Amino acid sequence: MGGVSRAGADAYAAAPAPGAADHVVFNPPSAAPSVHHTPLKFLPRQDRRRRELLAAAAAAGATEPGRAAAAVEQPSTPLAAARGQGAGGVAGGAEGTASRTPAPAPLLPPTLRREDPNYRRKYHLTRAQVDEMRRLRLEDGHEWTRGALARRFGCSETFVGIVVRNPERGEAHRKMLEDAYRRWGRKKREAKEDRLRRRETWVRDL
Amino acid sequence: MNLPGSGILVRVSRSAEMDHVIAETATMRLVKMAVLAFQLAGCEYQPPVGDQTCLGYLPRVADSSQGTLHAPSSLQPQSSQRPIGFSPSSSSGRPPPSSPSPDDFAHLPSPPYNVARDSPRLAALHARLSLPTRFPVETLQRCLVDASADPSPDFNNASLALLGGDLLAYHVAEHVLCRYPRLPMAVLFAAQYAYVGPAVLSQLRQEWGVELAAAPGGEVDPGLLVALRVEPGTDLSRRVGTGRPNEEKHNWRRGMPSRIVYDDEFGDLKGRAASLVKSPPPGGSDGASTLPVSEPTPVTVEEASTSFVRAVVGAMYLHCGRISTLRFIYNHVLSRALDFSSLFSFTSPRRDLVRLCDREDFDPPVARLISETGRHSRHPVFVVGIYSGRDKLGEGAGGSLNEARTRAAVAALKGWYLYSPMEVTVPSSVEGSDKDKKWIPNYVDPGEVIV
Repeated sequence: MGGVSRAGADAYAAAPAPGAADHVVFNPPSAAPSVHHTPLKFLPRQDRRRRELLAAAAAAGATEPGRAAAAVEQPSTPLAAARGQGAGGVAGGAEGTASRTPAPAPLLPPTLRREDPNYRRKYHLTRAQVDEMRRLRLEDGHEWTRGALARRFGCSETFVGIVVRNPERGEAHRKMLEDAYRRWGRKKREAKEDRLRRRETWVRDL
Repeated sequence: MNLPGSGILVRVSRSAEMDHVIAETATMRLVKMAVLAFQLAGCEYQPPVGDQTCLGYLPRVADSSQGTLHAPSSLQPQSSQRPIGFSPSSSSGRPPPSSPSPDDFAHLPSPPYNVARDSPRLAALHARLSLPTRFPVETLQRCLVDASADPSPDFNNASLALLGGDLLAYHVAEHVLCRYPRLPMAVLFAAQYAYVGPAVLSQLRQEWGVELAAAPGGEVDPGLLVALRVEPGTDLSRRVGTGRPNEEKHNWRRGMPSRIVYDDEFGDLKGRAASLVKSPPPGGSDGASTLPVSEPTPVTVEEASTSFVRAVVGAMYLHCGRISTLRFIYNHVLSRALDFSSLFSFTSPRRDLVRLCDREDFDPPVARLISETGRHSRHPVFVVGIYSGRDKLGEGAGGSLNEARTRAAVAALKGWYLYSPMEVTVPSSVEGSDKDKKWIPNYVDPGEVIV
């Protein structure tokens, strides 16, 4: 994970002659990082690896401590070229990022489409607004859905769900879904079940 | 990872590497006994043969080479008859060791101690486990007597199993918590279960080559595990004697804090299956119900195996001391491979990670696309990293952006929870008189992420 940089092809080129034996080329094959390699940020202050990782990162020429340049982010790779041209290209999901936020430092990869690196939670709603939200949702659940309330008050749908629940509306929604499921055939149902099963493996890391 | 001797033993997924114990032939000679202070307060005691805890069965042997018995007179009557939990027809007591016909012991609930030394099975088991010679074969035979077979606490393994179970639970918890100080409680429970859970100890019993007798009785081979087994098809789902305030509400949710307070070292309910207990104890105290019961309650093979392995550890501690017990536990339990990263299961990893970064005052986590291939094909692969500020916390690959992002968040959380300090001093390693080992305090974490 953090602090380990793969040697590129130039490491071989720069390798000394066989006579000079005090040189180790570290070039492991591509693999997912091990979860047992704790990232630098997660190491406690007194841990010895912290200092060593910082030193390794500094030696690798990273612009900032703890951040070594991945091989794919080297300036000559296509990913870096695509990022240099702005949105589109390889990272098609990153369109709009550059216009919304100031471009991050060049070494960081692009964010996903819905992710805003500068987003901070606002905590801006007052008690009166929360009461208003509650009243609207309970009075007319069909008109004021979670999404509608989230758009109106500038919060997330999850927050609306925390503030108020409309049991009738929830029951109706559940019934509607059940009716839809009942109309499914075997293929569709099994495909859905398989998808849910696969989704469980995401969080189990299988 | 499928290693030999492993099975699906635990609730999440794990594999345990079998520790190959080098079997060597133990030399059987006269045993030097230790006196247990809690059993024989104020009495100087040198038993001639067998376990000192088998005081009730000891015949008075005139042979001076076998040692002598000095016991207070109040204890003497026990040597002629079976103390408790014994059928009236068998009040004549244990026969002398000079008539070792198995049929003579048919009236006893479990094999008598004095046939242990002649049993090839026991000698083989003793050798296979590389038990020290200070561990008498008679005690090994007592470890093989479950409380369901012989209700008398003087002859069954309940007391040894209680001690051994506590020792195993303590040393595993110490081993795990010092090496992974940030583990969540649920993972700690799962790790305990993976190391010394009933399923694992049951498999350990099989690996040791210990088989079960079909039914308890005095005539069975003393090298077999004797237990009264439950009838097939018995409902074992509901438990009584759990110590919980509302134990009749068996379908109530059990949260993690209450598991820590009420339940056992695996977060499972204590007590026995309700269908096996004739009259549940009114107080619901578990510890007392396992010791002196008048009527034996049947057990499953797994429970009998668990109490046997625990009893061996407990007896090891009593006879051979702390150091040998530590080595035994390490050789048989802690040396097994356990993949801690497979014990985790998150419900909402991304939200957990946000809370974690809040708590630790890190920048909020942001998912970034490190690389991708085949976005418009049938099998795209995305590699997403979760970054906090400029630091990458975790990385995951998946067939969709959402999958890769979730996997990256899981990897980041595991990176946090699976932090392992470089220098670890487990508390038990500096106990005793080791002057060369110095206690260095371990890292203590503020706790898991509460959402």
